[in-house]
Amino acid sequence: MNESIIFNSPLLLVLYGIALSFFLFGLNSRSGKIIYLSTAIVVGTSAYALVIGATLFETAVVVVIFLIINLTHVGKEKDGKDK
Amino acid sequence: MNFNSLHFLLFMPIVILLYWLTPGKFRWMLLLVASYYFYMSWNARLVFLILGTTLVSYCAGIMMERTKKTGLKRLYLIIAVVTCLSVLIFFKYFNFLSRSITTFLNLFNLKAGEFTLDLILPIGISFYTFQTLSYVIDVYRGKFKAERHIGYYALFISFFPQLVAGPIERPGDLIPQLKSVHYFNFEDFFCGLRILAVGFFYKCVVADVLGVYVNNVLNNLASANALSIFIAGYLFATQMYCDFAGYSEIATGTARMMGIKLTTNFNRPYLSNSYSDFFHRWHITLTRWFTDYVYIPLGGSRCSLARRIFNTFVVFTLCGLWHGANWTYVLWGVFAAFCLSIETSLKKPLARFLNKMSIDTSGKTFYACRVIFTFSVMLIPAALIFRANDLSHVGSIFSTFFTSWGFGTDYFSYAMNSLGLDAFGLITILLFMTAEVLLWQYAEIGRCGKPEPLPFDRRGNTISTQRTVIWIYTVIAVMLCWLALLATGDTSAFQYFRF
Repeated sequence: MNESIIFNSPLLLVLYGIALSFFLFGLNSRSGKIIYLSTAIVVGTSAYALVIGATLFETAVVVVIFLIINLTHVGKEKDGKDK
Repeated sequence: MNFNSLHFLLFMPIVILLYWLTPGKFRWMLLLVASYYFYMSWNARLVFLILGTTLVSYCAGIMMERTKKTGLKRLYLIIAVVTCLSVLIFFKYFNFLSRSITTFLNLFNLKAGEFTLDLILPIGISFYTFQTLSYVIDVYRGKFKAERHIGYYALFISFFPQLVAGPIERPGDLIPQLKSVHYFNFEDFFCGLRILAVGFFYKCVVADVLGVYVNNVLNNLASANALSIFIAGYLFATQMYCDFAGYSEIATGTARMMGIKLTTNFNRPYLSNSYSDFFHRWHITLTRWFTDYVYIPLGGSRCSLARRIFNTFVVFTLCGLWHGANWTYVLWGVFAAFCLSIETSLKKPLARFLNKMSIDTSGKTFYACRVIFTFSVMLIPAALIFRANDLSHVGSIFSTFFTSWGFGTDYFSYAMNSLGLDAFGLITILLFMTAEVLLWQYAEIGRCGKPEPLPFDRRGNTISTQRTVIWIYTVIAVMLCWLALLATGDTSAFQYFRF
């Protein structure tokens, strides 16, 4: 963890935080475009992390965290029914 | 050509694209050529084995249907079965049997010299042989009409997504699908893409990563303790599931993108509440094969308890041997039969006892206890036996396990060092396994043919958007882990390719 580029870089953490915020906002406002924007930010930030020296594994871990967040937040319609 | 290789990642989309561009009645030719190319990429010379097996069983099927004499029909069946099994036994078990006989004779100081041949194990031989046997037996029994078209039959035997590691398809399930003309369907295609992504995730992200920690312990028992062995057993059980289920999902996803539905081979096996339940969820097609063609002809469950137990031991010993030419697999099969026999014998007495104690056996708590018991007491030891290199390795694993118990932070740290696990590694494993559990539900979307919203639903439906996003994250995670393991040399072929 001490050698982690991602967890020791404030810029990367802020960018991932922005991506997460956009995701939650997009989910709340039922906007697919904002969710796609969040994904684009994650992908871009991960690519930047790799460029500045993050390992493939630690980048994969962050991507999997976002994957898990998406898997646990597949939304329901307002009337509570699954689509 | 491994599924997790660049070669396959180029081969598969080209074949799928050509499939949809080819007129329906000629698609079987394309798939047949692609399937034989896929097989020959492993070893070109061994293609004659699968070709020979195909021709013998094809002729046997037609001859069985033409003749009205039962004796002649049985003769053709015997010829086909003996031919196919002889090839399998020779290539897979000749050296094993030779070494075993030599070892046995040397026990009596008979000084027998070892005689082995330099044989290559043909890839997928266990799978396509069983699929061939399934065909000839079903034709003999009248359950399926012999296929007259040699091209469709050859494709049934060699269909590349399921050729080397299953699912073991029945002729009645696969041949009609290969013969019918499929029209491009977005739902099927995207369902296939989802299943494919999940399959690669299971293999590249979970199985290969866990394999590193498993090998640290089981290849170096001198520095292991009971806790590290138990954790390694648990990780190996997960690795094995993700490896094999990952392959099955890749096969299913690839076929689904061509409109062909393969049989489900796994159904959350580690949620089994008993060992018999486990075999209804793990490698389902193999279990069904042994049930229909070995267990039931032996008498199945419609006989005395003693006979039923005998049938169980025969089936599982053969099943263990099917997995590989090693006594550890036989031991695994015997262990499985032992557990199943105990379950069968104690089922009614246990039910009466629990009833007398007024324990609610229908509740979720009791179910959870059964799942945990089945996994910890039966499945992890079975996994360790399965993973061992030989019988002496089995002995070493269990003797280390039973003689190196301890407590405290030092003991725990020793176990973690033995596994090669630091805090980051532990978090990585937990995250990957959590994603693996959650992705099962994602892979199930649309699998059974129910209509689902398309991923690029223009109504801006967030659920379909999320499904696309999940797919994107899954693919990125797969690529990152695959590259990381490739760099360290820790990628591996699919475990079941050895069978």
